Amino acid sequence: MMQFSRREMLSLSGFGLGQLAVADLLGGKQLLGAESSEPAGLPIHGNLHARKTHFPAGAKAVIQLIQNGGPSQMDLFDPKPLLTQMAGKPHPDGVEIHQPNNVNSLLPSPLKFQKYGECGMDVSEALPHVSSVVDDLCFVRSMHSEHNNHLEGLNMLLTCKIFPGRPVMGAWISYALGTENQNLPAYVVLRDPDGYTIGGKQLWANAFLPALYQGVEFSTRGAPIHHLNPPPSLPPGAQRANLDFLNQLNARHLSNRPGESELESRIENFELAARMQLEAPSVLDLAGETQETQKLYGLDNPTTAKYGTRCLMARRLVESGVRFVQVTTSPGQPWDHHNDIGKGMKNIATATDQGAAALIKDLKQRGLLDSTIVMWAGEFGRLPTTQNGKGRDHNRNAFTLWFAGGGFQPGLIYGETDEFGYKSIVNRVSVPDMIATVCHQLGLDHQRVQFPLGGRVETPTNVTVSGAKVVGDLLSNKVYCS
Amino acid sequence: MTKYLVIVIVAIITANGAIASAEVVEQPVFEKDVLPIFTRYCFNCHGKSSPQLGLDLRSARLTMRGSQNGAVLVKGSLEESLLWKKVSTREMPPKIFKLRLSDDEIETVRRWIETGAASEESTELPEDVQLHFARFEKEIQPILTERCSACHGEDEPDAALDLTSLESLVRGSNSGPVIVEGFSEKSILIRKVASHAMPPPDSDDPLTAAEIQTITRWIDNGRFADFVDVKPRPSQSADSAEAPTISDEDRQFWAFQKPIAAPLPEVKDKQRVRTPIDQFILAKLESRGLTFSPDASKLTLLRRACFDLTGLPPTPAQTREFLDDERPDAYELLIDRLLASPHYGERWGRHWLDVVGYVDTAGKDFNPTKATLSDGYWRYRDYVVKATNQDIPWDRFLVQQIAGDELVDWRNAEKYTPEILELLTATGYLRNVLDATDEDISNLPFDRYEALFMLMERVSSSTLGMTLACARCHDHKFDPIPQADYYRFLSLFTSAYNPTEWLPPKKRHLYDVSKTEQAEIERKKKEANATLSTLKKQLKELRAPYRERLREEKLNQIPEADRAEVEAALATAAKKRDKNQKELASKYEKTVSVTDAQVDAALSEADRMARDTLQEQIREGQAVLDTLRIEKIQALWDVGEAPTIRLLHRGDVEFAGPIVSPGFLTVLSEPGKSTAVPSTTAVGKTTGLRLAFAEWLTSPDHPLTARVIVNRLWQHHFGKGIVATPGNFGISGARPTHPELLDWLAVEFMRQGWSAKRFHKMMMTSTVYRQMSKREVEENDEQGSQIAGQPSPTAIDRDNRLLWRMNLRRLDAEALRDSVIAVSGQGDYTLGGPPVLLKAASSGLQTVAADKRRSIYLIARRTNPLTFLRVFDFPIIDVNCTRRSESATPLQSLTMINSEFLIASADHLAQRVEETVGNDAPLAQKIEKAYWFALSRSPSHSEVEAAQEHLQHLNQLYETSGAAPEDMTKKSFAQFVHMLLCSNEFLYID
Repeated sequence: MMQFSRREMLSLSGFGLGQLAVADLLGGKQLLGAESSEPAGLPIHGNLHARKTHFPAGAKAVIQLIQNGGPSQMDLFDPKPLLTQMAGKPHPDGVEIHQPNNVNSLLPSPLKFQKYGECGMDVSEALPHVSSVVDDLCFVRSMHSEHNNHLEGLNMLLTCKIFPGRPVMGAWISYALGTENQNLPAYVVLRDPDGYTIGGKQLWANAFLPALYQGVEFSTRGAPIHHLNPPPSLPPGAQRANLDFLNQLNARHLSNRPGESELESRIENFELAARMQLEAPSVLDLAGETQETQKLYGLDNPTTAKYGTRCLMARRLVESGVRFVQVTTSPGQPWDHHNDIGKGMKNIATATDQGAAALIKDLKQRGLLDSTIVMWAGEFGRLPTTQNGKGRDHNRNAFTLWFAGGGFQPGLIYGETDEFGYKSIVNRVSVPDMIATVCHQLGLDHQRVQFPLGGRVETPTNVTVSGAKVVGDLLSNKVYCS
Repeated sequence: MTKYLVIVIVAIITANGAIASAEVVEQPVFEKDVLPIFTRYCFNCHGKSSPQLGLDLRSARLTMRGSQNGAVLVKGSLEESLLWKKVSTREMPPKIFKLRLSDDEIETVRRWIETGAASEESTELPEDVQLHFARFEKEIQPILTERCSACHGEDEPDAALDLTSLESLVRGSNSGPVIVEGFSEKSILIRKVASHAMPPPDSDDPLTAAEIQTITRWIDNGRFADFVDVKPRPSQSADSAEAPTISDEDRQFWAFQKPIAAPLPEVKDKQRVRTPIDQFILAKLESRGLTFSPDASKLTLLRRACFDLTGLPPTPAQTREFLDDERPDAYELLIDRLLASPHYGERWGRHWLDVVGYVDTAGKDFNPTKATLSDGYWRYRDYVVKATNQDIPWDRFLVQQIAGDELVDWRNAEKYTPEILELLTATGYLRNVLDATDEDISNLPFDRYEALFMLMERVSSSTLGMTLACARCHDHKFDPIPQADYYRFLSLFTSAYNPTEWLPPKKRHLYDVSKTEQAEIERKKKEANATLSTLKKQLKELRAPYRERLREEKLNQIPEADRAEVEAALATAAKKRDKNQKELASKYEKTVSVTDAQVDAALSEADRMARDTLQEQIREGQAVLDTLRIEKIQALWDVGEAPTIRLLHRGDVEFAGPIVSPGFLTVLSEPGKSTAVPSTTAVGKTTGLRLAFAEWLTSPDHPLTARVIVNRLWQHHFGKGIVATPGNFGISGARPTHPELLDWLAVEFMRQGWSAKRFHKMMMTSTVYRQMSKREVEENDEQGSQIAGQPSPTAIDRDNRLLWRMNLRRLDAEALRDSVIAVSGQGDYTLGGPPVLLKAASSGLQTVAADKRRSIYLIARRTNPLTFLRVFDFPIIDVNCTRRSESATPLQSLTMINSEFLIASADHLAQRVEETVGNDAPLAQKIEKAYWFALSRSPSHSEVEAAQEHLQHLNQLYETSGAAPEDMTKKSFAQFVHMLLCSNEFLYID
């Protein structure tokens, strides 16, 4: 199989020492022929075969629950009594706003909080299910990002840069690790079948990485993949007969072109496609799940069934050896509550809370949680002040996210925001830090996951600009590799 | 809107009641009178959270510090106070926030400044701050003085960063603050020393871990920054960057030297030499003990040439014509025919559109189900296709695209000539970069510069074959491109893309007619409309009496009791009817309504003729109106003089540096000639800066332009460029495999008048191009290692860098789709026009209503192109694409065997076979025809047999499933041809 980068591909070795070497890399092959005296460059992986990690991994798969819109930290996970005490008074230093109709007037949370579990995590009444699994979760209250606009914030969360043009985390991880089940894509996206969230396919774009690494949308309604099945008019056995005939044609063609590995891999791909036809529908078929499990994910309730279905499918995909599963919420920007934080929050929280909690419980009881990182995050948080009466505007300076499994310390509450919940101040964690830490748990040194581009070496975190570092404090095993 | 206003007013009263009723005081004091105003109006950007441009207005002391660009307040002087200018002109707060200072509030600010900017701030520092200051002197200052003051001392410190005092430490460097109170990890000072980037690695004195920790703790724990008296930074207006100098050593790199044609090398096997190209390639092959592979067969050459030049497979007629042509120059004539085909421009125009990063859409274009068109941008696509077909010399082609608007005085033209239209359209090259500024929320300086950065990347990678992005933030790490060069280069485009007087994409367009013509068209339109409405009125009047009578008759059918009420109800406007009236109306409205047809049937003979005449006149009037259209062109033109452009430290508009003047990349210019002098050939009210750039770019002395173009031609003929990184000829790019050949081609290209068509012919008639693609590995094992004492070419040059054979190539996305359409006989070869829109299914599938037009005419989108094209590596366009990636995935296989497009095309192809040979023709003949259509060749005997066997098998399967016999053979045949379309032979060019 041959992979070209769509932009120029070259390779540097000894990057950072100022040494420079160039290799012309065209997919997997290193074209170091007669002319080249340079040392071998970076391997450009051109297939999805499972690859060695840099060091022993704490986890092998990721389920990313994207909560776009900007979930409000002070109404979900980070209660601020001062907002109630100072309700209606201005924030003394002012806050950075994004949209019109903001007033510098502190808005108390309309939701009640309670402490849960042995860890004593505060969770608001909006999330009754997640509050029941807090001892399995690792909360980071001190996240911060860079941009106050949704699309830019999502780009940041997924790519470490606010503008499009960089591969998302799932693409990087598929590129670095390949996948365990060759009959399924490495990186699967489960979105709401009724529509896209803002950003559309940009949220799983491979950007400059080969197209092989982009997220593949699996539909939770109808056939899971485009063109998966032959038309119903085709009689049973006809497609197999067709493929056998095609194989004959291609074998004859190849016999006159010996040594063309590209032709061989294309022949192989038709077989792979045939296997995918069998495996993809079965992995998404929930009929085999017990009623108890279906109920756990809220499949018996129309409000929770849609998101619950995607969470359950995510578990099945990971179980089948898929490397990275990305689950998005409902179309548009469901956590974006500019007008009425209490009311808006309840809608989306109710729709997603049960599925997320069920996923944790289910993975745990199946012994999969140890090897699977679950990550719940939006693109930013919200302001302590008032917008449109009862709403809150965007806030890149603080938000809360949680991890579960994959060696993240269960029951940990990490980091703090200031007394208004406006800004993260203690043990701050940046988005690039978060990505570096996820990479680390997968056995990857984020600085050594490399792709040559336009004379630079690109990495998932772009460390020279972002200063990304692994947050060892979040991990159960504090002795981490760097 | 009303709702929002109410909320704001309420908010003013509740949150800031004191202000709303505040009176203007005689001598305002900051804390009491001004701070509440700043808190309400300014803290969104100039509070603690985000002091934009470093301006923090939370205290009088901080306000006096000014911004990164200097003081904003001079006590007692309105004229010298920038703050007053911004507030009094209501430039601040920005309109987007919908916050407006009242006149009284502005008056308060005025008096405060005029009366000396009084403040009640205590000069006594809080105790904890005093302690923290003391800790600086005791613990921090000694470390910084010892380790850093050699370069960052008081006297002309590096980067204007003086680390010897608290005041200068807080002020920071000329790039902005170096410490952030409370956040050591965000402090550049800590990042630099912790990573040992500072002090420089070659110095003897790195900081110890303990020292770094001392500074870290001091930054993290304690207040200090707000209490230091920092003098405003002197204004940088006089500070301009000199044109950078580049060392002779830097200029030595091959790509920065003007190409010089070397003499043609000697070769042994002179018989294989058809063109000078062959001499260069063969000489190198011979030096490694290799030679050319044999010439490919005529059929192979035909397919190769057709796909290369038109992106379409040969038609049966073309195939026969060429195979039967026994003239010695049959192949050359074939190439001439293909070069003359209008499909040539579609194929090679599309290659250029990749490099441009062409999309038909406006804005960020991320929504899969909704595309917003950039109106009329397709004209630029058509211009590219036409110019390519006309073989406009490349130097001229580039000049037109970069500065077409500066070549004619379109501003004063009475009437736009075709030339003016073409030149304005050509500047579309510089338009439609990813530009988010149509939305107010993302039309900030930051976003405008981002659009400019995208433009820089497009222009540099497409014309210079250089990537400049590194130099946006700092001097280029690998290439001798100082950061100042980047902004000098950017500055060339700012008289058109002016970041301070910005036109968002929606407003940045011209019309396809001159101002005079526009007025004329508007006048005619008005006239035509007036005539039309008179005619329509006449028609109505003609019908009125008939209508009235018919209505009367119908009314009479209503029971008399209801009649009057019904009339009243119908006479009342639908919205104003009461309940009873609504009921009546819904019951009788239909009964009493009279249609035009009913009226017309009742017309008298004379009135019928009168109606016919009127209707004819209306049709004519409408036709006239339809011709009176004005359409948009997405052009670029100078909106005024170039503004003052500053270098941006770290590429950040918040950190403006010295002023730069427009210029070219120094390393590519003759020493001392890198500053742009406006072109004297520019016409009209324009700066001539872009024309100067275009002239510099296309000068015969330019080291890169011609090389980059010929390399791209080579790339598309051989699968890979002589420089394998077509968008990066710099130090970090690939080296040319054949540098002498590249230079010879570049020089020859310019000498022969920059004609692409001549070069296609030269390349395609060479022996290199005519080789077979087959590896000769029969007598060797698979690894191509030595067996019979002779190393095989594969063993010597496995990856064919030396071109001892032709490369096997996969069809790209468009060629594949266009081929499927072509062989199915469904092609619609209309040239040009508005883009064909896609249908987006909720499943994410992007399809097109009818797969007939060529792929270049489908709407080009950033992340959501036609699914079929995307699956076959059609690029995502963030900036542009200088080389397509090529993947082989199971999703491609599924698309080939199961997509509706392929299934329908196979049906069409089967139909086409049947129509050509007749329904009753023997099966073998049908199979033969199918091979001929799909693969341009006859099948071998065994291939026919295999096909027959497969068809028989399929028939059985259809029979078992209960299909009707006649249906069955048709369906089976469609399955068979479908597999031909899925085959590698169809997908690959030898």
